[in-house]
Amino acid sequence: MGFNPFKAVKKFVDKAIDVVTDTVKTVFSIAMSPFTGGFDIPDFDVDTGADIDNTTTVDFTPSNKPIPVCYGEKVERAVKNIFVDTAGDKNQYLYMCGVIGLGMTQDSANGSRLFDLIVDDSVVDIIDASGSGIISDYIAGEKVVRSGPSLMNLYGGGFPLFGGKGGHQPPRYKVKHGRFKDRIEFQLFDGSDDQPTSDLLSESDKWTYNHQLRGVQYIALKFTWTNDEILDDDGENLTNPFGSLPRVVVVAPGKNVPKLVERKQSVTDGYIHDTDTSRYNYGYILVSSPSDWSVAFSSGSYSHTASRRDGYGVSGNPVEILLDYMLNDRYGAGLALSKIDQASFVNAAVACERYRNETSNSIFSTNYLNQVYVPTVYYQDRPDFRIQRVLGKDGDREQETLGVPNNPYFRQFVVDTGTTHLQNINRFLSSMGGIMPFVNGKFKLILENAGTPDNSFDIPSDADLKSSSTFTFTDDNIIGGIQFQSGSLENSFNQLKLNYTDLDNRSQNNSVVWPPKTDQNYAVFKRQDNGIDLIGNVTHSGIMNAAHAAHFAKVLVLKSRNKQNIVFNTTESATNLTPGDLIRVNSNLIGIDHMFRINNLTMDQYGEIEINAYRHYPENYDFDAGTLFDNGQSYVEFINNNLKRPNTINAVPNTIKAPSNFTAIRVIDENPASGFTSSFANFEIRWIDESVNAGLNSYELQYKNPLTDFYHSAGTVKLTSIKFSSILSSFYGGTIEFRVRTMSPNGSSSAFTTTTANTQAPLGNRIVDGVLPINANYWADFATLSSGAGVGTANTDGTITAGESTEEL
Amino acid sequence: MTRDIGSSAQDGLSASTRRVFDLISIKSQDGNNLFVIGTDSTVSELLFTNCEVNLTHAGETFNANLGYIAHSPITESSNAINEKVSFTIDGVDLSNAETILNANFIGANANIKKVVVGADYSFTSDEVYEVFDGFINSFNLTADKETANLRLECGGPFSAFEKNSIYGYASVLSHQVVFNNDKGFEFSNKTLTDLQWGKQ
Repeated sequence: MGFNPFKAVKKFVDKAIDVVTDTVKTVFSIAMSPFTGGFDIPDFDVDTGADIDNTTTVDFTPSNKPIPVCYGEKVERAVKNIFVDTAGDKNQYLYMCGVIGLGMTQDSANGSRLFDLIVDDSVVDIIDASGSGIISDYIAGEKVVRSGPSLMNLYGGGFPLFGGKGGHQPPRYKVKHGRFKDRIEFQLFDGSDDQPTSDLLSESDKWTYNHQLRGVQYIALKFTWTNDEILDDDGENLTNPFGSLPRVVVVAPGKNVPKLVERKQSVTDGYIHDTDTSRYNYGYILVSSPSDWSVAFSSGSYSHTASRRDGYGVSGNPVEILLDYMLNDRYGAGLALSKIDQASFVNAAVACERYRNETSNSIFSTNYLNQVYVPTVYYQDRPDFRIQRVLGKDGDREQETLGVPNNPYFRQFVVDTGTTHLQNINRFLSSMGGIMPFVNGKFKLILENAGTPDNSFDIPSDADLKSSSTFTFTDDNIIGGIQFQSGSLENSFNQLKLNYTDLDNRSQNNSVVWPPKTDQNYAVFKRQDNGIDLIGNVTHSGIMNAAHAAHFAKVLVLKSRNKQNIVFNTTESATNLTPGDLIRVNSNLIGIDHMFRINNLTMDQYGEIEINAYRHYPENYDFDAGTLFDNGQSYVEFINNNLKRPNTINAVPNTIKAPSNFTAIRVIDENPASGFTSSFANFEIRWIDESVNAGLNSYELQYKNPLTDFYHSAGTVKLTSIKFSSILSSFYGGTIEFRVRTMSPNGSSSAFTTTTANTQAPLGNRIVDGVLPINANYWADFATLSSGAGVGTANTDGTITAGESTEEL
Repeated sequence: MTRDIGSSAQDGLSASTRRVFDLISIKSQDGNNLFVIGTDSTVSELLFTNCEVNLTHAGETFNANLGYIAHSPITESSNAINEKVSFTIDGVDLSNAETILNANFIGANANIKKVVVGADYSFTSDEVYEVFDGFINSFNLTADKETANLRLECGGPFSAFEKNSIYGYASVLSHQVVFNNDKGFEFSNKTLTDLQWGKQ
């Protein structure tokens, strides 16, 4: 060091210390701020219900608004429409670019899959969408060109594939079934840094080579507006399903994150890390220690472009998601890998990857009632949740179910890049009960659980924890005294409502309550609280189903109760401790011998350490489903109310059918207009519309006079029965041909249904309940056509009055 | 989980007598100098200790008797919060006061380590452990006729987390922070009016 302006003058030491002391107060105040650490109920919502709702709300005006970052395996979110254009000789094509999120995604060896495409709240049938193109080279040196449905059947498990990595044009898919058949074409871009410009969007003059959207996951869409007949698989005519600018929602994997641990494959193998580079996912490598699990750490730096073979992948593990956000220097905190404590992160990641009852091979208990979970022996090691919504297919086709990992830490996030890093990091941490102190130059991560860092299902006893405690405080190493603070009523809850994102139900805002009033715990808590209702309300948008939400609520309630705190000072000998550590305090002074978890730790200049810790009850962190409720009634109610629900209602196909049971009954006008006689033919005409959306349709009625081949349009009505009147007397005795067709709201129409009727009938007689023709052709010789019949007018009462024109049809 | 302090340091801290001192470093993060004296004398890092003698660790000499006395208590919390630490340099030489006032302290890395030393001030690297690493958030200089004090306030590792990014917005400007020439968001600000779709 060169010149130094700091000279030694040891004066005013007291003043310097005074300044420091003032700062201490500030620091302590900040430390007591309501930011969450571990399982805690913040004074403000880290998440709000609006966060959940906004995720699936379509934004047509995204200008300069934050693009979300999506984390998770099956994330549902509305796309942000950043480009819209029309083309075609009749403006029949609508091109749309829908941004899904930032960052590259790859959830399987051949790329991420689109699990659901929802347009205007209707599921698009994408399972057998035809496509051709290049599967991107996620597998080194491989560039596979495939076309037709086999492209997805072979490589995407039946779902359309994202692509773009390596500069390869992703496949173009065309919807071939369901209500959007032949009317939607799309391409899926994986958000890689080198993805090419969409050749689908390039059909618009405005979309040029420089519109690559590198690093952005998006869907390119081409909608076709046509009233031409398109027949579905049953031969029914599909009407134009569009009304205005389509609202598009997708269910797709989130972005890649650095993997710390791969999902468990079997009981005996333990956890493995997937470094597989083969297409068929063979060749897993078994490792024996956590330090070997992370390819990302061994590479030494974070990568925005890494694929599965590089140790990155899509994840529902909140630890891996947190790690990605902390390392990402585009939208995240941008920390160096050297700032992350690998061992503690891996331990926490393993804990988040474990399944219930894995050692006993039992399945999640709720499985016995509702089959939400896969109960087969094969899946015992991977008891996925089976989502009960229709995925990838519209309502009239076979239901597809899909699994997500069934462990209590499974999370998904749609992160707002417009909020601060601290807010987002706290959101991740709070969703898993994570504690992340910065010690010795690194961020360490501890899950607040019963006491085993890498296994939240392990519930060590209080005695076990005491015997294995790394640090025991007694009256000998406690300086001064101990301040003991009881839990307070204002921070205790006897019931908690937890709001979560219901993946099973179109990712809408939903909630669970724990304990339910039928649960014995509720009665016990109320009695302990002198009958006072202490009800909390917390939102965690990263929780995706009711069972996981109930577990989270249970831990929050139990932890809030009897939350005893202690504060004491000790010597430098405790320097090795960090926040989150479990300690034993055995003090004869106040007669306690309990386990505590360190909340804050303050070290002063002279080495003295102040420890602030809260009582640790290992049984509060029981994540096993068998203990979620204390009786069968609560259990059954929970299943019925939250898990065993009917499928989400899906829009039925927009087929349109020709009217059936078409009849024309001649009646005598009982109140003929002045100058007319009852000899004029009047008809009651009826038909039935068996179209699915019959209530939305209208109907055009036409008739043809006895002597010509011209059809005259009588008009259009909304009803399916009308009174047709004012047929001129010259028709009398002739055969009239009626026909009617169904018209959809978008202008599509069915084929005509035809019937004939005869105007002949004895004067003064009324034909009741008789279907014409009666005595057909009897009066035909007398029939002559005169002018006057023409386009009719639809009246509000269902009648049509014949008009003037004679349109040829 | 523990701090992973070396066993020698733990033994020293548990001993009945122990001497623990601070090793303070203030370093420019961007390669620029903290301040420049005159035209060519530059200072890119400051190293202090409150030990009676200079201490050398990892090839760097931490200077004693330059006015560093103590840091404020350091709080580590289970909460992800932006903790603050301050320390005061006493007896600052005011002959170059303007240089200090214009110094490039803000944003510089501030690091505090503890060292457990023997009676002869000897120690090994195993007896050094870090207790704070952050950034200088602000500083103030207080002077009177007898001396001057420089107080440096530091934000903890979470201080940079109070920010958000420029990248990640639906605009060309934001996107081109990372991807030059990419115009993918060019049309995101176009108002959708009079869209003629299906008007045959």
